[in-house]
Amino acid sequence: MPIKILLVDDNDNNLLSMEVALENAAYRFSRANSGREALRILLHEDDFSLILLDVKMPIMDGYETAELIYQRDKLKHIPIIFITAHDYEEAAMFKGYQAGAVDFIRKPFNAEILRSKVAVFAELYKKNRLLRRQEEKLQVINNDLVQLNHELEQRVLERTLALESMNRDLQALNLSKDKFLSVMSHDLRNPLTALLASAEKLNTDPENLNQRQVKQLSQIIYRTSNKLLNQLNDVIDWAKKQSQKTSFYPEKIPLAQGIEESLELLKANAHQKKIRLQNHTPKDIEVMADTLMLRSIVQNLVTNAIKYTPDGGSIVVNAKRTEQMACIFVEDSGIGMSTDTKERLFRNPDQRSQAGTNNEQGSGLGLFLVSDFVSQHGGQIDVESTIGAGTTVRFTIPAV
Amino acid sequence: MSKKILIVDDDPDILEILSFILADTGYETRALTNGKTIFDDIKNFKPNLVLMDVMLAGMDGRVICENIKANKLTAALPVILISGTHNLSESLHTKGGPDDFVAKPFDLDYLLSKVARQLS
Repeated sequence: MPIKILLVDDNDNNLLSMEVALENAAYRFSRANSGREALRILLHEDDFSLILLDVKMPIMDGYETAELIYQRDKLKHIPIIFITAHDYEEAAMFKGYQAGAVDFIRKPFNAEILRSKVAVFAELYKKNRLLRRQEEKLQVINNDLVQLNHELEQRVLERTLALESMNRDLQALNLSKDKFLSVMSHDLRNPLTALLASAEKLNTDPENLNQRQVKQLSQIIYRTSNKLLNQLNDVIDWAKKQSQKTSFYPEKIPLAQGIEESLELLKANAHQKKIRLQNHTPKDIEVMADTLMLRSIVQNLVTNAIKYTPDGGSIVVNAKRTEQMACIFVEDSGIGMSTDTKERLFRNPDQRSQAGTNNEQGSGLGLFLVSDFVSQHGGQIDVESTIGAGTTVRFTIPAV
Repeated sequence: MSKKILIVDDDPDILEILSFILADTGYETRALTNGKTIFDDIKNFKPNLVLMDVMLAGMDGRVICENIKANKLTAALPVILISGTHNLSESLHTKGGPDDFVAKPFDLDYLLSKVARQLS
């Protein structure tokens, strides 16, 4: 980058001779014939490294010009060398320093001295410029650091808030688990105790009971059975609410692998009934799913398939990509179900599930949760079944 | 004269079936749904045994049992505690502890044998 020098003198000859004396490839000169013209040039260009300013000029002298130049903040750092007459007095020179001059050169000037002085300021300017650049770089780095620090603090804060919120959720869950346990142990055990005792009395001693006593015992049985049913419904409601509260964090999962992991635990169950459990899911399908929910869906469906498939049957898990979704099938060679059962399947979580082919029992909650999880993914679930031939459950979740 | 049993349980179904069974076995019973008036009931019913649930509405059967055992007038009165949630076998034979313990749900013969043992 050239070093820009502004020469100000009302005499063209002086301007020319300064320029000649300073001739240097690194310098670039601008000329002004008056203080006013110098100010005009400085209005457009403020990147001069030095101003050589004649003191004695008509209309506006060098001091006035310097004063006006230094009124602008952007120009304050440009050094000014005053050019003065040979007989210049010390008092006048002091005035010049007050106006902001860094040096004086007497006319007619000695070319050698002029060159040396200008060279000193040119060098100074270069070094200053370098320093300023370094400072700017440091400033940028510092700003980045401040920004980074701020972002880190923000992330720590967000993470802390998320953890606190998770902690609250867990505490709430724990509380309701405690409540659940207390309900199970006290509210269910009491009516059950009365029910069992009454039934036992009726069962072991019927010939010694009169009509009135039989009636009293059967009333206790009837009343407590109803209580138990109500408690059970409450428990199911509670479980439903828990499942709705379950957090949903979808992420990109290779489907075949996700399904394989889900099947891992069930292989023993299938093996026990000599059922062939196979995963034919194509390796290239990726889905956007909550890992835990996907596992729960697949495990529930495969558990059901095992439950309703007699010994020696087979179960195949497969998948197909449609435009936006992945469609996953769980196909078994089991006992199948009637249209009536099929229609009630996802609707009523209160109903007790039918026992399996080896009299396996279920809570009746499984399919309710499955359909809930599938709809959380924006997917759909349906069932195709033929009695005696088998059942295929299909559900969709978003593909990637 | 038949032996008298005071039954305390906040569940009316349990109270009813216990009263039924014990009465059917030949005991005289009085049923209480809470333990608030138990000392008055002991005084005027004069039971030979107290059969009491641990979880009473707002009260703890174990505390009532301790109070019975701490009172000179009632200390000799046998107490059987019934609980569905607490295992009280360890509190037996401790100071202020019950004379016996039955878990819910209970087998009738088992309960009746425990009752009979305390009354013999």
